[in-house]
Amino acid sequence: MNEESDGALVRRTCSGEPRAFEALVRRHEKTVFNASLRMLHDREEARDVTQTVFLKVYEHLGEYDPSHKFYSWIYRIALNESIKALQRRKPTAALDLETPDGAPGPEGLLDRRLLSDGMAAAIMSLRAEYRAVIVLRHFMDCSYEDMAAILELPEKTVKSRLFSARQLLRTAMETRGWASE
Amino acid sequence: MTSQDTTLELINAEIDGVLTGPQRAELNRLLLADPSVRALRDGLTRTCRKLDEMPREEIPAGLHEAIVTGLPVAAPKSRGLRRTAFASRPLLRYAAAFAGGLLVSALAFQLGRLDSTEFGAGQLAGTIAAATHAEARMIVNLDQVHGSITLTGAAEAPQVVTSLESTQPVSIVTHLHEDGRVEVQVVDDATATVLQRGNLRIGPGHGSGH
Repeated sequence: MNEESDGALVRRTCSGEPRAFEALVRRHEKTVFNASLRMLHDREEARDVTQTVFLKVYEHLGEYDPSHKFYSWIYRIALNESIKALQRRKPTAALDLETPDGAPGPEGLLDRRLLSDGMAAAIMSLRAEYRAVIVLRHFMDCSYEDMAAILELPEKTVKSRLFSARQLLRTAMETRGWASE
Repeated sequence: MTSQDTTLELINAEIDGVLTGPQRAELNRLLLADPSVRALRDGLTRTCRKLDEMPREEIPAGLHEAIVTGLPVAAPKSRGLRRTAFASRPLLRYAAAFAGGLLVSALAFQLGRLDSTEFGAGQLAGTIAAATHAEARMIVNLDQVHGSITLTGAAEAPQVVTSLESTQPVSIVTHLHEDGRVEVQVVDDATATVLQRGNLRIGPGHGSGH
């Protein structure tokens, strides 16, 4: 199937064809929603962030530089909006991996209904910058190069952060007894 | 780079499927020589497999329609025609008009009472109410005003709940159409320009938005 490229759809949208933008939304909405969901662990917030992302993309479409991948641009906006949503939460929701013995873990601050999956809880226990690389690599299927472009960081830094994030996740899973198969 | 860094890089390269031939040989040598490397590799591989196996959720009902119908009326601006940057705008210049600064209000409209033939009539009146649950939501993210407008309640008697912050006077104009669709417009009071328009709907029976 010969799908129209993102760039072609962007050009058509800017030429006044709103249906072309709808095609872009349809193509990327699920990935954006899932990325936001993994960053926020809240369906309502993820829904709002997804809507905001496409609104921002539409408003700034004229500024899109076609020499870059469209999805890198949209994913960057998605991560930034998710991080803004996290920052709007109460300070206690800023999650750190390490908690003193006996203190409620970060998952205690979240909707327990949504935390039945240990891995989801472990992801939420990561700091936002680590969570972002996990989301980009494992939920958005981004390469190291894509991640570096989206996060505007050197590839070496991105790899180092990803490796650290995976180690933190592994530790979280093992110490909380979620690692068993 | 320390040997531990090298080991980690090799393990992660294997997980990401970017291991070269010589790197594969080096990793195999390390795995054979050191049980702790094997444990590390097994743990990380298992962790990443669990990550990759996590289900991708379908988007909520009505989200696609909410995105599309909530887009601004105007076509995207081309480069060079952008509006003034946020930082140079008179921030909260008109905030006093909205209860002393930050407006986060919830204005509920008993739309069921409106005459659906009164097209174009501004309907910015109502009582304060809190949304019990979101059914269909339009995100507003304009220079002048941002927040959300939510249609909630029963399909036959929907309520519009706004949660907006604004830097200048704007009106939220709603109109209940005969087909059950609630048309929402964000209007600049100074120029009477429609800044954003959208349609919200609570689906019959299932309660999801469109």
